[in-house]
Amino acid sequence: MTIHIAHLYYDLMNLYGEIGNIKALKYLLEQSGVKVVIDNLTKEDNINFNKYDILYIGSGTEDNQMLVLNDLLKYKDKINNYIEDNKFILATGNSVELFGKTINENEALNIFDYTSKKADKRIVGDVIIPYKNIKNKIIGFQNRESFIENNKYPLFNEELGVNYKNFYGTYIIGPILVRNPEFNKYLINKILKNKNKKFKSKNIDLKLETKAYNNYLKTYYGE
Amino acid sequence: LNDKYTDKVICVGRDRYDIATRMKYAGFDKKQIKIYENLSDAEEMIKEKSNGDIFAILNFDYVNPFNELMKEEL
Repeated sequence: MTIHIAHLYYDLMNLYGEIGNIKALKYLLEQSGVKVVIDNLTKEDNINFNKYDILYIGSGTEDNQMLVLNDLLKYKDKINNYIEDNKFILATGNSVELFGKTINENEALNIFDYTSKKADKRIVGDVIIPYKNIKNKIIGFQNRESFIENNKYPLFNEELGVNYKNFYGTYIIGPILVRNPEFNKYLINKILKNKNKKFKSKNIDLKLETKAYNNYLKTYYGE
Repeated sequence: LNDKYTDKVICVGRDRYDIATRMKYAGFDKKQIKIYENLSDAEEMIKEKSNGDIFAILNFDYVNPFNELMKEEL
């Protein structure tokens, strides 16, 4: 079985080492026993949505976010269909804003009802938050200057993310999939089942990642 | 870093497992990643069991201790 991933705007939405999410996806998928093909796509490339099982998009500067938005608008219906077809999108950092109604005064993709606005001051700091579908809390970091409002489909909570069907968007960076092995495994299992319900995954060694996760909470928060 | 000339990556300090995880996802084999709680624990690996050039990427609080540790080697 082959999983095709599109890393969208890999060169424009490339802040904070968020490419680590792609590496973590690839590692776990390969360990599960599937082949992974990653296409790095950018502005003016043709995105063939039928080809991909997962679309990933990371964080960018405000200028790059607008460049990407202008390029993405032509795909609005295709992205909407992709989401409604239960295919996977992971959007981290400010890329989550692209899928809402507006970004400040600019019209965004309008797939979801939320709007994003510039905050009075930058929002920076650690995040530790429960997620209903896994045992361990999500850990990560935020470094952003905007926030979303009117989010009907919260992921973690209304401020931090959006989850509708298999669309997962979050302001949490870190990268979230590197720092949260249980969440990564949860997503990978969903992706694999979505592709082939009968697929039997191999065991994945996540000892090191789990040690990193536990060591962080113990060292910095005494948990 | 991850090429044929790098035989191991030594991760030291309180974020050692986090750094090691990132090295793993960067493509280093598990056997190439050595993890130590502090510099004195890593000393033998750094001085006796490593060959060629050593490249150190250090947080501020590790610059002086590392330079002190390696003083005699330079």
